[in-house]
Amino acid sequence: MLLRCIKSENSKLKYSYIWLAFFIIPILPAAIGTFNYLGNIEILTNGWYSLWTQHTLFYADFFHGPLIAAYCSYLWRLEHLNGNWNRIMTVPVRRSCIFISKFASVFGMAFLTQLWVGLLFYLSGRLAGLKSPMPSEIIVWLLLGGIGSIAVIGLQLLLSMVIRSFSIPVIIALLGQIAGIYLSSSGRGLCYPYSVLSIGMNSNAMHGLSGASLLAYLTAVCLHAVLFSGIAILLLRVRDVRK
Amino acid sequence: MRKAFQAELQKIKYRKLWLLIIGISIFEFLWHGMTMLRADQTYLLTGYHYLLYSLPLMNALVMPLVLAVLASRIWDIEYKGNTYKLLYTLQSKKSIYYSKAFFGSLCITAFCFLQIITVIVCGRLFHFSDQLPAKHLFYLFITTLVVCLANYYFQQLLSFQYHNQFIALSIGLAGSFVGLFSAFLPGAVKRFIPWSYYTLLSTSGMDWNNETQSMSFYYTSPDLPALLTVSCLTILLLIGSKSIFLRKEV
Repeated sequence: MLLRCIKSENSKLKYSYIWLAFFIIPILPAAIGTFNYLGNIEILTNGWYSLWTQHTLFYADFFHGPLIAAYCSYLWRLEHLNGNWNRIMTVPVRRSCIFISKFASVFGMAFLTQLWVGLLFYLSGRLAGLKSPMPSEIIVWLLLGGIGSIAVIGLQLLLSMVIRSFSIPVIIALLGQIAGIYLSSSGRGLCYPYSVLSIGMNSNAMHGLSGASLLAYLTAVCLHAVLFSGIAILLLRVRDVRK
Repeated sequence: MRKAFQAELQKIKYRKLWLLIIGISIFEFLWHGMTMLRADQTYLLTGYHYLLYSLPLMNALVMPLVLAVLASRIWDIEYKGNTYKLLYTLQSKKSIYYSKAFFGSLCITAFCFLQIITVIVCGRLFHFSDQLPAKHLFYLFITTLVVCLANYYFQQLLSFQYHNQFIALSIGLAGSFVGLFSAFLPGAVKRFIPWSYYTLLSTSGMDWNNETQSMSFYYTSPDLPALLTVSCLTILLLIGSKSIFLRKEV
């Protein structure tokens, strides 16, 4: 049942405009980061790691949240239109399957986004004149970032489900992402879903996650995802649909 | 026209647009309030300078998306209800266009006022040492208003042209990031990017001293050619989007 739901969610993404956002939006932080790196090359002397800090400074702290919010809003959009909420609540599918299938679909897109960001990073590095091989830690940080996006996906799917507007959850994500900069800098990033990605992607490139910090990170991500998904599934079960 | 505007007010009544404008103002107040609380005393010596430098940057990041949402909320109600055909039989296309454009402009003016109030309240709350720069606050009001109006008229063009609001909102989101990007670009290049005018028209600059690791702020005179350019762009977008709307088939 869950696999069928995931398949039906994925079919909504075929030929949709969301792929334009998928391709174009990550190019912006890559361009900004590379320009910033080239403009400050006398200070940023650590090659690939310095370029990584510039890319993730913009991607993880500004772009990622709104992009995930756009994916989530797009997936819930069909339910918000034309009385489709009534239809979806009367189909013989478990409420948890409805939510988890959307979660899986957005996670797939977020993971592909991480791969695209990684490719853009590699191309930017080559264009910026970095001749050495790209460090393998970058791939680990990209993977950890992909896992970290689970925290934001849970929250944004919940927001997009209850707020019947495409754009308001995207604005909440942008403002939340900006506010997350404060929490990250004060050492409380793991408590806040929008800051988790920048921790996972090691945006300050000082030291990667390992041992206890990696465990804390994974635990925080799981807790965020379970909390917001749990609230959303509970709302789907107990709350009546309003037209 | 008055009746058309009243009809717009009724349509917007439960869409909570006021929440968007007030919410953004509160967010900007909280952001700068947190900065002031965590800052040392030297920040408070030049608090107004800092706010006049920081607010245009914040506007460049946030306002393009906010204005896209504002335009989308005002214009897409007709697509959702599929009421364009009906409306055209009840009132002139011109009155529909002007009432929606005027309503959006009113919201933007309210936001610009709230921004000025934010600066004054921050100054009183955190006891800034420097004098309230009335002239530069006036420039901030005018420049933010003109740039936001240009942005809004562009976004409303996208919102009424495309049924799927995702296109308008994606361009708004991209505009936010291009606005942020443009803060790092030289002035000559900024003039060709509409979203960069938030920072281009700022009358507060910042110098960073690498040795002492400190910031110092200074006032500049307003860039009148740039203000004239963006004003002309605003008028062109208003007239251009109106003529496109009048010719639009539904």
